[in-house]
Amino acid sequence: MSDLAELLATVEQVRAERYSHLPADLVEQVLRIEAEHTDDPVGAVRELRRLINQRARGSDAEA
Amino acid sequence: MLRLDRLEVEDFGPYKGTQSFEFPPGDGVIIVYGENRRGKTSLLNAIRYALLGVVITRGSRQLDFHKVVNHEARQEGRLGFQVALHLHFEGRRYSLTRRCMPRPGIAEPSRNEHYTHSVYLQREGVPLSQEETEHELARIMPPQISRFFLFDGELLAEYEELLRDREESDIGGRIAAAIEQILGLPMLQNARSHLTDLTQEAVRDEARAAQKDSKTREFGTLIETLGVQIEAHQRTRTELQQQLSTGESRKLALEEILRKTAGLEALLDERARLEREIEEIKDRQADRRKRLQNALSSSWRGLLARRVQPLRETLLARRDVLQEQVTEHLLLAKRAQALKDALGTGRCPLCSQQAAPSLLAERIGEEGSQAEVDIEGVQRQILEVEEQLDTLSRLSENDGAKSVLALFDDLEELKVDLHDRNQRLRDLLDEIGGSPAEEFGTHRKEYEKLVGELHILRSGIEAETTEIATKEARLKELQRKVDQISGSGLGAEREKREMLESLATLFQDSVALYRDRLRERVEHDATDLFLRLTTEPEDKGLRINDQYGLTIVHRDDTDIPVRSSGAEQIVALSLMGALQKNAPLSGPLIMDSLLFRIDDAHRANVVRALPEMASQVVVLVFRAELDPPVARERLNGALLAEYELRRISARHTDIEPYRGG
Repeated sequence: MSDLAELLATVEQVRAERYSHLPADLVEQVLRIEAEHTDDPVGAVRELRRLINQRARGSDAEA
Repeated sequence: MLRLDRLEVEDFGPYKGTQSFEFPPGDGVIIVYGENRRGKTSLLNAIRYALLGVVITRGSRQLDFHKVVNHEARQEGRLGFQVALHLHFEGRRYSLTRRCMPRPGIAEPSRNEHYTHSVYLQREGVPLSQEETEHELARIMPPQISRFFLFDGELLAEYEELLRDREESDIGGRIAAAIEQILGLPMLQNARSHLTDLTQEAVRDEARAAQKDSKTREFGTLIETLGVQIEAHQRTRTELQQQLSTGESRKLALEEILRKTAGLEALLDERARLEREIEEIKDRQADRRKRLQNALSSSWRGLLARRVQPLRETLLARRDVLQEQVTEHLLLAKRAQALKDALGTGRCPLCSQQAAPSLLAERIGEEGSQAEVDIEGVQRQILEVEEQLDTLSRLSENDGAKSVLALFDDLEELKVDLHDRNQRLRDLLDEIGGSPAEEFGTHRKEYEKLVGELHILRSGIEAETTEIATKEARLKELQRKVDQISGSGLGAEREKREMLESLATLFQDSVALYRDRLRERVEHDATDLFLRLTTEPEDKGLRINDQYGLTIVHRDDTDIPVRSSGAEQIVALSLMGALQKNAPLSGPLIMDSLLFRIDDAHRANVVRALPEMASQVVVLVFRAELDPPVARERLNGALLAEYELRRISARHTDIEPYRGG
């Protein structure tokens, strides 16, 4: 398992510079899902889908 | 972290029966001394077989399993082999056993298909299922990064690819991917890949939603169709990339084989030429023998030659005498006639003076009596002599002595030529060894065909990439139109799609940034190690490119091209040490034929640096490569154990603690 903190820092740097419209916590959650499912790509995709759908529904509700 | 505890081999390679090898606890170096052909590479292969199920030989080819079985064991009826490896991984104890046995009913296995393999893994004493076993082994030693732990100095070809610093190297790309896996990049890459898949899903969902509205139905259908096409192109491209990857590996292996057998082509040509010449000589010998046989069939005449010649000379002399008689008779007869004619004229036929008839008559009488020879008898004698001479000539003609001698000389010369060529052919066959011409030719043909195929694959990948880009651009255009027409109607689907697109691109950019950082760290650590290994004071360090290609940097900041295999080995070791330091997936470093290409000064530096390259280092060397007292002095307290591969017979080696000085 690689150093998660280092990966998070790298991704956050890029997000802040070029993708600030994406919420920081969303990006972090994506990475954590990947970290928890390194040997389970099907599970990773399932969890990511759920996360994105929740976010989309949450946005809808706000709208 | 992976740590080896104990290795047990049974009838594997030169190791007859069951033999074991302990890895002492603690960090440090284990040295195994073994002369050539004693089993150093086999020991490395035993570990490789246990972890990965493969045994490899020169040219990175997999060795057929029937060739792995110990020869003497096979003679005794044991046709399979087994390796057991006891280890610790991530703090837990594992026992791994891998066995290769002939299938039931196969009495003389000679192909891999004749064998069956079984692997058993226990974790903390508890047996794991087959699925769990495969999963754990892939975690403990992923095959694509095993080359960084099981280092065979003779298989430097792959590292040499890296060290050529080629931006376009496909094999470099794959090794780079392997390095990045060891360094933890996959998590970001997986995120990118999964988000891309979800984006495609979102595109389809949006397209289907657009089809529900009459204003955007047509566009929705087009978007969905394009999406399907793009996915198909991506799948095709992925397949082509996998084929390219496999082909590049095979190309590399073939290049190594052809490189090592480069001289073989010239030897094979010479062999063909010699074989032709030998056949020609044999043909000429057969021809000479036949002519000799013919010549000898009349050579008996030669035996008579000596006797015939004096007879012939006698007859010739006799003939001359007889012919003189005939000539004299004719002259006398002519003179007598002239004298008779002179009787009528009263003048001498010679001087035309007056001659008395009585004198003329007297002369006629004298000459007449002299001419009264039995000329017919003489002529008959001449004929007889001529016949005898003729007979003798037939006997002595073509006695063949000279041609027989010439033929014997020829045959002798041909015999010497044949002997020389046969001798050269024998030497040549020894040199060529077990590499049949057919195999060399096959490799060469395979290589040429493969180069063509790889070119086609690259073109195919390029074409697919272009097609994907074109269709994606078209897709974007259609999506913009749908956005314009639908307004907020497809808001949810659009938002989801846009969120996923941004996330996928974010992780794409993160991969690039993380990769750069990893390379910087690896470059720094590889430079650090390299400067301790090199003996050249003007070396500044190493520079690493996008594909993990390495060049040596001079203190004036220019690149020094790496040429010698010894230098490449030093650079490769530096890279391995740096990877070990940075990898979250660390393990033992087992190195075969590590030092034989490098000079004494570099060797000293490498030995001193070994303890810092990994926590557990096993070095397989022969004594001339690394002198035991010198090794002990240089490693000091870091030397954990010394072993020796002791020859019992040509096909049997025992692993024993080293007892020499």
